[in-house]
Amino acid sequence: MKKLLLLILASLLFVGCSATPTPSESKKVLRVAFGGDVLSLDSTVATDGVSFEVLTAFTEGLVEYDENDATLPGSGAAESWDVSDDGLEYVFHLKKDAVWSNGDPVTAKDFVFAWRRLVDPALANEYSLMAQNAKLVNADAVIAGTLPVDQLGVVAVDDFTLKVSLESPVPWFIPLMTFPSFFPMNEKFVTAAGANYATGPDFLLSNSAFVLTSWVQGSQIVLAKNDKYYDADKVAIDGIEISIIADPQTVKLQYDQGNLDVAAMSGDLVTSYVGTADFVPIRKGYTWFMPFNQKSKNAAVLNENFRLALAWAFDRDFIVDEKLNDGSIVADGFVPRGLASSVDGVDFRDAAPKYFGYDAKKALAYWEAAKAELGVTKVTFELLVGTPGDDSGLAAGAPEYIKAEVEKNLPGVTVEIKTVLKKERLDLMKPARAEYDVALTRWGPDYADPLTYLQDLLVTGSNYNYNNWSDATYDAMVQDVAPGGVLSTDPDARWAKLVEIEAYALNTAIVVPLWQTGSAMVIKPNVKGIEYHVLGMTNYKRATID
Amino acid sequence: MFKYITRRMFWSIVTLFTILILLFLLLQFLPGTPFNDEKLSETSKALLNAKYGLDQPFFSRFGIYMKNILTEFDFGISLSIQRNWMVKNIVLPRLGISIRIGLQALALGTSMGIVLGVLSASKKNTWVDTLATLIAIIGVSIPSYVFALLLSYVFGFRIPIFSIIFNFNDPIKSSILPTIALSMFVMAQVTRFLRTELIEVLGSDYIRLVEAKGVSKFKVIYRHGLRNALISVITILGPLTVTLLTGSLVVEKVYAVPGIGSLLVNGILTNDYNVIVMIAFVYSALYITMNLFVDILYGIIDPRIRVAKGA
Repeated sequence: MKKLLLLILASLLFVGCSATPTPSESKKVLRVAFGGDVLSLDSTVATDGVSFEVLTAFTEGLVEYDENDATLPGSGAAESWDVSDDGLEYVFHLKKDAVWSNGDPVTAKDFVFAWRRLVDPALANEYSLMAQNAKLVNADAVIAGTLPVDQLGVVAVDDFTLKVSLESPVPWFIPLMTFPSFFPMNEKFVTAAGANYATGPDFLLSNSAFVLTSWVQGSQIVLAKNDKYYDADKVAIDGIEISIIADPQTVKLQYDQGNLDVAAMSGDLVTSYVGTADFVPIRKGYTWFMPFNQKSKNAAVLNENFRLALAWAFDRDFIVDEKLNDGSIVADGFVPRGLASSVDGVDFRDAAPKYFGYDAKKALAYWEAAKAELGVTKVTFELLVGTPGDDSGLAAGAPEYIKAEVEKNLPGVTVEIKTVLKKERLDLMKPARAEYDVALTRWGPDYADPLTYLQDLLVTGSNYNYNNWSDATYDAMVQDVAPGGVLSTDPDARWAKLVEIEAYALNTAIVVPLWQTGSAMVIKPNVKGIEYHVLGMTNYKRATID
Repeated sequence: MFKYITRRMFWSIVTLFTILILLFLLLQFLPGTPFNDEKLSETSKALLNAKYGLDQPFFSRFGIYMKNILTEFDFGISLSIQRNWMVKNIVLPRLGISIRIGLQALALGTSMGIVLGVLSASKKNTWVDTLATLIAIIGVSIPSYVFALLLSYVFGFRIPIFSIIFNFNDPIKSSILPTIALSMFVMAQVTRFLRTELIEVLGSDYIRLVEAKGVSKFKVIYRHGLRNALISVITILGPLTVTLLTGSLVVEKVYAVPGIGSLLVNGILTNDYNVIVMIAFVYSALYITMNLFVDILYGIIDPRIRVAKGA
């Protein structure tokens, strides 16, 4: 028996030593870890960040962000563009030397085909909403099925000229074109692939710096340098190897062992890298905030002084530094930093004041005023939060910290934390149900303009008005700066008005901004030039490995 | 025997479809929808629900689903995990990996368990017995997540003989750590059961008769003792497969194994009903088959059971 045991152990060791993989040192392949799998590589079907990142690595849209977050002519498939004076018509002139990985030229028809596919009601694509955001002519009617897809406001004038018509001027239209839903598709190829389209390397084409060579679901995605790319001589790496690893501990072991070049770290695992050359904090555009449901039966939530008391009662710096510690920053306002700049290049956050902070005395004063107005001495409210881990980006322990501080600084207030899955949280919060008092939620920008927060979340009747707030003055102010509004063609006046609009909302503390998400990346010091963007996808084109 | 097996198979199939109906019913109560994007308009939601048939009444959906499974082995298309892909094309490639690692763990765990069980029973109350029992207790009590991480830290990171994550290009070697991690619980259970049973068998009269005849100790244990004691081990193999399935959820995550455990979790989180149903169907089918297999094994090992049930 002992012999058998020895035999088993010996055979294990033998297998262990037999096939040692030989890492290919000659090829410069960037090894990246992702926490989740790609959900779809069909750019009209994809809706999630991971899919968008991979799609962006092998597909080039009309424009791309550069390292300074600018979207300049020539950065993508469009060499240049003309905009009509009323801002309703964009004519894109495409690069003539761009080809797909099968050799076909990239033409204006590829964009028309893809965009029509995006809004086709028969395909029911979730992100057809991007065509609505872009205000493409007839987008609503086509999606609803009342007009045929060829009535969408996009036409190919010739092979290299794309004409886009809008229903109202959209000041952020060009940056919006970086979004993967607007990527081109080769009609002939897509039609030939049929139901197999986007299911693997054989059923996908590339028109960018990399081409997909392998995709093992749930495990690995491999991209190689695309030699047919018009700028191939400027691409310094030979490929990207993406490993899908869900467990953060395993990611850390893989990175420390030198099997990864780039990985995102979270929570306690970040600590060991802070201060090293590997640690790279990245800023993202998500703002976490506290909405106050105005349909709530809890009178305190409707009271402005009570909301202000909460806004000043806890330390957001503590959450960012102690609970998150991943490059997140305190949200000084509702509109995140790095989202939008004025014509002079001033970030919105630098143009607007800072809102709220930690001041126990101030909080107590507001609470006293609220008690007098409400005629009560005690208030209990529900704080609806998602499950940490499932509700990605929610700082573990933040709800408990807020509860403890609020109850300490505002005697008589009781916070009841209600934890549910994220999908359930969103369901409870949606205006049709509105079954909550106060929540912790986040919002990611859809376009590079403050309105993606100030309009979509706070205007009466918006689908995402989780506050169920309705204020005629506020709505009127937003109307003026919205596409087609009186100020929509006067950028300076519009900018000043946007600052005023944010102030109007935050002075009533209808929402309390908490933090702007960051992501702590670890990147091997010999890797340079990966570009992370607040709004756009990661760009690996200019990455180098020394 | 044949009649017995046929009857058992019939009831297995009935059980399987009862599970499917219950599951289909329970999924109605899963909060949320596959279309969880908060930015989706009501028009688009209605379009999506219509496209994926979610606007149909429960019984009509169940009917269509059953018909497709029975006639074409078609479990529908994925609603969120890999939208628009055939669910079987998502599940089947991953199922192979999960089953392989599961079977490896079962084989490793059972054989190690038998070795330890025999050692500890035959050297009862010696240091060998204490050590084997200790290993068994550790195996039962350490959560598989901790054990899996420990293994990958020690044998993947500190002494890098194995790869930390599962690698498709080297599936045998990179599946060793997950197999060991998964087999711990099996090994521990088998050891404990076998020890108890074997001690009892070895103390019985007929063994003492065999010993008195002067048969070597080795032969006593293997030819006469183990064969009887193994029946108890086979009894627990069925339930153990279930722990393997649930244990694989954790082990697959730690070693980044693209198996169906992680797929099931994702399916539940994103309301991908078709993926959930197919995986649950596969899990149930595996469990039922395993039980059937165990029942047949009884007959082979112990002729008394075969005769009694065959009659």
